[in-house]
Amino acid sequence: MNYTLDFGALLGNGYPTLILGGLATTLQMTILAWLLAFALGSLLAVLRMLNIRPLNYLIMLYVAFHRNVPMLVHILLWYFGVAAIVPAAINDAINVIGGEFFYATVAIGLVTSAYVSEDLRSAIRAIPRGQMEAARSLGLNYLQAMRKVILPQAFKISIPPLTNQTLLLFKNTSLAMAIGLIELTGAGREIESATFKTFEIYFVVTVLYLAISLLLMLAGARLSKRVAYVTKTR
Amino acid sequence: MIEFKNVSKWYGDYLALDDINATVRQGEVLVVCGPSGSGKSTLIRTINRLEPIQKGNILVDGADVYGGGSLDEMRSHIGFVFQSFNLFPHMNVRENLMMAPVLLKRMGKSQARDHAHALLERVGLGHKADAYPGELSGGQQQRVAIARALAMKPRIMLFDEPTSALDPEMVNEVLLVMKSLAAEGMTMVCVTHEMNFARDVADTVWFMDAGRIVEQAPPEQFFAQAQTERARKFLADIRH
Amino acid sequence: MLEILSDNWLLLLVGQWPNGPMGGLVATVGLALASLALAFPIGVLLALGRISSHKIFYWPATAVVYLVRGLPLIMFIFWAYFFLPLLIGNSVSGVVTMAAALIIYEGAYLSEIIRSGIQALPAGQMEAGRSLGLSHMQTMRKIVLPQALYNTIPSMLSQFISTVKETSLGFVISVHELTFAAAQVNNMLLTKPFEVFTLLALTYFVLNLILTGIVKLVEARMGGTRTVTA
Repeated sequence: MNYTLDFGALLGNGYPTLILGGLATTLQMTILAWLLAFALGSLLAVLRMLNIRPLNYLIMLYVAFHRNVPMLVHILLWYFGVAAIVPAAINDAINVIGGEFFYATVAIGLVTSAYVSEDLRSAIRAIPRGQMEAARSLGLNYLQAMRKVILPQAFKISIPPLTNQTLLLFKNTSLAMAIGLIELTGAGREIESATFKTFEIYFVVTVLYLAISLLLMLAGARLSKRVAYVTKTR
Repeated sequence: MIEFKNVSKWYGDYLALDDINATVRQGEVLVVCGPSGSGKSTLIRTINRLEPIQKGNILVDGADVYGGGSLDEMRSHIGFVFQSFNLFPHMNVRENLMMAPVLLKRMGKSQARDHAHALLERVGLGHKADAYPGELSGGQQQRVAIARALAMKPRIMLFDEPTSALDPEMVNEVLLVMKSLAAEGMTMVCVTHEMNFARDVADTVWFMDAGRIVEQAPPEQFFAQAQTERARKFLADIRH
Repeated sequence: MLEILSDNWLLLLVGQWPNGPMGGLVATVGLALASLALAFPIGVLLALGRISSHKIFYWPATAVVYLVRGLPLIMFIFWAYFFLPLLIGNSVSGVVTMAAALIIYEGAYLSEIIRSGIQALPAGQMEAGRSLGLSHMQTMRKIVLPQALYNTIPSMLSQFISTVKETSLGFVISVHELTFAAAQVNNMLLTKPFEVFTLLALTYFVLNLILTGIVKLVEARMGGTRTVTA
């Protein structure tokens, strides 16, 4: 192997700023996409509980489409496909925050929402029937029972799978570099082509991804422990 | 208080309740027993419509449970105690008791809190108000479940095999609570295998088999001289 | 869209073959199959390492799995792009780079599935084997692994579907798979990106629906043994 390590080369020429900017973009995408995914996913899960046939089919189709098509293809579809048919006025408005950022965030948010809705649905279905029966027996109506008894328990159960989804969402933001967005991976590649210090810059990017991933995993585990309650009878 | 008029229920093709006609009077303590599969749990669950019926009417306090009125409103006047307790695990004991009265606007918060504490004292668990269901034994959980049902000040209490899921040493603490309720004149329907409870406290025993009420009699009469062959066999089996 | 399909179906199916490397849908499925097949033994080894009580096996295996879980696949691919030529001493084609990255990546995910499968077996199986006098490894090989691997077949098939989706990242390093082929079509037509990429999405959609259907069939025939994936 013919390679001499030189981390110092990364410190000049505004490279640190570029990396930090990329990291910031990654984190912004993660947060915004997560909000979209969680809000939409919760809505879809609750709508499915209503058991209206045609609505169920629509939601199932939405979920199937977003889960079976690769994330990268969704990003390409939005950025190249949808952007091409959207009226110019809207595109101008979108370009204020950046077309790449907007479409990638939307794509990642929508795909993740499909998984979130399924995870929440599983969690709701995992609650024993007796809980709903007990709530209804006391005189609560369906919505009251959902709000006070079922959903609080479902959210607690769904923390582990949702932590996993958050982690996947965070990693998926790296795909936006395929459409030219300078997030963390994109910034890494830019610096690599400028300095040819491939190992050094990849190392920095890797450490950053691993650190945040680890933090997310730990936070999820902590949260899960804190809200856990013993469900089995002694 | 509760009237069954020509009530029939099917699960698909299987006839679970076969043309039930019977009445429960106000203040009556009724025990429903029978072999498994006889329909006794199904019967009690149709009273507050946890299970639907396909034929006939059930009237609670004069109102048709399957008629037009608000089902949630009707249910709030009927207390139901489950075999598996079904306490809400994400709330502590006090919150379990307070939630429905406050949410359904029967009481203000402080009134509900006082009422909850009084009920917990009554079932012997005043010191457990802050505990979570998972921290309690089965017997304790079932007593909390009874208190939770009582918190809504129901006119009728329904018990679906309340002690069947309990370890034997905890059965008595629950039966004692039920006996004190009966002594106060509560209208009670209990599906149970606890024949001593029936003997001590019940006014009437219904023996069910294959979806029909085969015998209705006061407990002394039922236990000493059951009329039907099936009832006699059942009593012999449970005495081994 | 139908017109685009009928004009370009060959390109989308097999890429530029025979005038170039195999590409398109065939390359996608082939790459996924080959990668997953080669990832399988790695998955087994990593799983055994993860449950091992010997630190010398446990720590490296755990490190690999956490690395894979924490790092985006695309970074893995770039690392492979960098490392492989150095290791082999020769330049490496995009497809081999992609396969190498996928093998490690899928190996780690498979190892978590296999690990769950092993841990889901009743402890009594290992106890019975040891009681008969078999060594730990023998019990693993003859009793535990065969059952665990069989039970996790549905989950592993699901992982295959994930791998099919992951091959789309080959696009970024110009591997001739389906997404790359679609991009080529788009570059030729230029004025119909929405139709081209919708067609691409629908192709993956149909392909994966079929694969999911196969997984469900296999699950049903296995008597509904379902395993929880890590």
